[in-house]
Amino acid sequence: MSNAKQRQESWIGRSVARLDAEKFVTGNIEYAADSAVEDLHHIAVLRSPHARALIRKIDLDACRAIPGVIAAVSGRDVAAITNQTPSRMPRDRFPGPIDIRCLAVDRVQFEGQGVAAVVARTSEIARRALDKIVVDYEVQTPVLSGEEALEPGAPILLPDWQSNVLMRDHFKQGDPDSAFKACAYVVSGEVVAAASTSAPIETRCYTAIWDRRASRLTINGTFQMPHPSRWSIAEALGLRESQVRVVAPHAGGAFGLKMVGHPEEVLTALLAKLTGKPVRFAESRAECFMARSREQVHRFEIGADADGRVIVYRNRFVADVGAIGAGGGWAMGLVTAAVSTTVYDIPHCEIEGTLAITNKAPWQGIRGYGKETGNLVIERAIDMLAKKMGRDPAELRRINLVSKDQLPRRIPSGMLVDSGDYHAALDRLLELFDYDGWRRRQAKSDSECRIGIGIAFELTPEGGSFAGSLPNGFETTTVRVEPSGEVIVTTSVTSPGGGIETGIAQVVADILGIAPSSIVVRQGDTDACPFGGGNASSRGMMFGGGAAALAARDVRTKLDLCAAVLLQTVPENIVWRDGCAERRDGPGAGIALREVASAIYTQGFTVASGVEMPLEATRSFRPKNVRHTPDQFGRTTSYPSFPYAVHGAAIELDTGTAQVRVLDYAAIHDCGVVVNPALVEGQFKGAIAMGIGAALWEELVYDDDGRLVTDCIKRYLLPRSRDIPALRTGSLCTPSPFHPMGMKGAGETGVGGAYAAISNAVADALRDLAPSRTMIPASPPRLARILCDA
Amino acid sequence: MLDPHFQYVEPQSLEEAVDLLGRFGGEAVVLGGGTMMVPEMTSDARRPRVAIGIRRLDLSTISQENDEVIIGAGVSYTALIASELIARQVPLLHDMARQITGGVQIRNQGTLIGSAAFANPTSDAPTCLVALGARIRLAGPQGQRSVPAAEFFLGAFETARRPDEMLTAVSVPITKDQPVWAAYRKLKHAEGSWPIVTAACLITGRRHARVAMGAATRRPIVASGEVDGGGPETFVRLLTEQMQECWEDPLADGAYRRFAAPTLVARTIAAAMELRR
Repeated sequence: MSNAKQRQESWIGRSVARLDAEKFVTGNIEYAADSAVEDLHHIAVLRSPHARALIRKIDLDACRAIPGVIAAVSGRDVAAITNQTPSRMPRDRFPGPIDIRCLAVDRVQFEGQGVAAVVARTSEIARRALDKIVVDYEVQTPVLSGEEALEPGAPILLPDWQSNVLMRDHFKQGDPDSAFKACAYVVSGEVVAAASTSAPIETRCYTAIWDRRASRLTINGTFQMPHPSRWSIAEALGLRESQVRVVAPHAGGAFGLKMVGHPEEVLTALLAKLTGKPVRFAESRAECFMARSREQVHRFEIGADADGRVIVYRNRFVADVGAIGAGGGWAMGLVTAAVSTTVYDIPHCEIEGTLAITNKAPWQGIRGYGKETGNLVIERAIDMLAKKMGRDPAELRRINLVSKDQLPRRIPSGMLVDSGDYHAALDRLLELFDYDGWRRRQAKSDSECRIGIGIAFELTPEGGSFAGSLPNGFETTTVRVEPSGEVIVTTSVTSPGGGIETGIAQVVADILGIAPSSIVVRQGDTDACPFGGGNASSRGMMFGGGAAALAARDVRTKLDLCAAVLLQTVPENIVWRDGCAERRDGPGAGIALREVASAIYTQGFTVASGVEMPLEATRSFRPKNVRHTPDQFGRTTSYPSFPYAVHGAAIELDTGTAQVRVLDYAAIHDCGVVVNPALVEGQFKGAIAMGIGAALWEELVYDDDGRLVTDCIKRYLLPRSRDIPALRTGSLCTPSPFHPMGMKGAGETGVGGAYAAISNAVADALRDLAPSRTMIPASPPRLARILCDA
Repeated sequence: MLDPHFQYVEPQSLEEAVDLLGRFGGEAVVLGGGTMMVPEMTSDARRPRVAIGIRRLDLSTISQENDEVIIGAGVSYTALIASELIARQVPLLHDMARQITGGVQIRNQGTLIGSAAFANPTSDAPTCLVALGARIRLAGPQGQRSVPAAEFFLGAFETARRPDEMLTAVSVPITKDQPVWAAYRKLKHAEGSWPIVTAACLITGRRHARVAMGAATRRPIVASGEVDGGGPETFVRLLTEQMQECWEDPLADGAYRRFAAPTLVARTIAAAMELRR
């Protein structure tokens, strides 16, 4: 068969419609909060109004006396009957003791931390019963920024810690100090990124049922990581993992928020066990806005020779990771450091990232996972250097990109970048974006409304596999063929809404020669699905799809054996097409999968005598290119794959109102071999919208006492469709040499590039007014201050 | 006493509604479209004992009485947009209603008078009603009265409505000084943003202008004058002089509102003047 025909027949690379699209658009998907449960009781959580306080006393008597209230518990009550919630990252990595509980015990570390919980017959009764809880706080002065937390004399926020430093990452390549002295140009600057959040449409929700007779807990909810959550809940409650079943129905967006470790996972499970009633925690929108991330302050210097070759880059930053949660969102700060030099060939560098604990809510995972900020800072640095040199920022990038022949290549943080063609991507972008055309328009734009143009690369390591952490670097998929010929796939990866199930069906369909739409994919149930991490770090297709391919090939081998008997040939001569096995060497009639399956199940002593039952295979996929044993420089690498993108943005700055409108946006994305281009494009565009939002509008604002002010969608401005122009995207494909199918992760790329390209475009529109300190987001009040100061 | 439930009542007549207000006063809320009250009740920011629905009160009409256009308390933004009478006689409200965001649900549900009653500084109705010189009609146990819009809006979320009164209609004077050029503009950071500054400009008889500005201050402020007497700058000056204390919220501080207000006012006047052609 010709290559052309093979390509045409492959399900890989085709924009197959999502398997469950019809259910979504007709409103027939059951989300976590939709499930009808008899005798359901409702949980409300009393949250601390103070960012830092000691709890002297909690009086629950009046609350417990309210008709309809069946239980009320304080942090101390809970601590007496539970274990600590395990941290997603190993405890030995912390510099001092941590004691993570689902409700605060004796002290509160941030505003909004749960201090007590009520279970009542209705959610209204539960909510209003909170008013009757009396808490005696001894309010203390909170520490509300990372830099403040690091000052000498700052109160140390955790008992038996020596400082507020949670972790420090420092690495160096070459000799930065000498290199700076040799530079023809040196530029320094700051990037101050405000806190932002993911705000999925569906907030979190958990419903738990304790089956007393079976001594077994079932918890249904918004879990991106069902198996890690099962482990976490079982540990905290002192149950065996077999006593806990975690079920994750379809999700209305996750973006990292719904990863393991939220206090209410354990709390809901505990209250079900304690009361014997089915109980539900349904997060309010205001509670959802407590999830915090991205708050960082960077100080950088970049130096180049007379030709514009970047010789040295130094970046020191402080991440305000807030209080420590079980989820380990703080690890995003380490990823910021690791990605720092991105796609550029910089001989000397020094990166130092300090993660400081403060009295703000813990960081929760968010799309970008820290990479967006590392990308933002170096892209600002390159743009500021270009401006100082009077060079075109696109051309300055071109001479500093790592060339494709240099890959695979270890970058200073130790990660081994797999593949890419950054120069080709830049060429494609400049053409797609019409960079020269935009520069011409900019030259003609009027003085009141100024056009700004921003270019940015982003490198987005994916498949994060942290040593000692659950989930770790593997996923598992089972492919089974039933006697009817129906193909059922169960996998450890979950779908937050992006269509992973469809991609996995395509991988299996491609190997078995059947239509993806005929395959049933099951996810999100620890009783039904094999062990794995779920949804994190764009691993769904790369790991779960990789495992699906391995399992499907095993099953295919069995099917080929039997089909060969039935078609009187050898297995190597069998091809599968449209659900039928055919002989590769001749026309002849084919034989349907259902007949082959039936024969295997029923004719095991004759036609299927060579086939070992069951007609299923479970395989897991673990990536190459992750190394947890340090190399000679002490470097490890937690990320196996390196998708990248390059973005071009044109914005208009209205100097009369200091408002920014995005006029045009183009981007080129390369994540290696793509299984379903439409779904990947959807993820990419969604990620771009998220990055634009974070660059221009999204900001969690706290008052002077550390109380969250932006607790609703009217105060925290997420981009709506009219805020985002038609995003023009294109793609390149440089397959990963480390993945058997050439895949890299897709799903997060877009955030960092947009974050950076928009920030560069705003600075470009500010022209000489652009300060050396870039404040994110570029909100109109901030820009007005810059315009006024001029 | 913990009572998790409020009572929802739909009175059959204005008298009945007024009677309820008399009995429950500050513990009752009147629901127009509920686009503000229902979210407040959902989030527990407001816990009324009684919620009074007004849809049986026959208040959903737009009519002309002598020299006034009467807009009932039940008139939605969609109805305003669809009304020929509004388009012809009160084009400012037509222009305003078209700019209500939040989708068709909000435009179908939300009402002009509900917005006036709520008196959120960063909303659309107050500025327009002040620019129009409209009067707010109120009904309560002590009878009916009408209050000029400029006196009705006392501050942020504060109006001249007594706790036992409800708004029944607004009346908008029809000027004989034709033609009327009207423009409403608002400044928002993004599509989802509440207005940061609003401005309404009404030019009658080709010369005389009334310009109101809202959202920058706790209540709308207004300036009148001849348009050819010095261009937008005069109005900008007259209005900014009145900006003693700016409204502030998490989206914008006072300094920003002070910065952006002149631009928006000038552009709104320019937009109204554009209609001259």
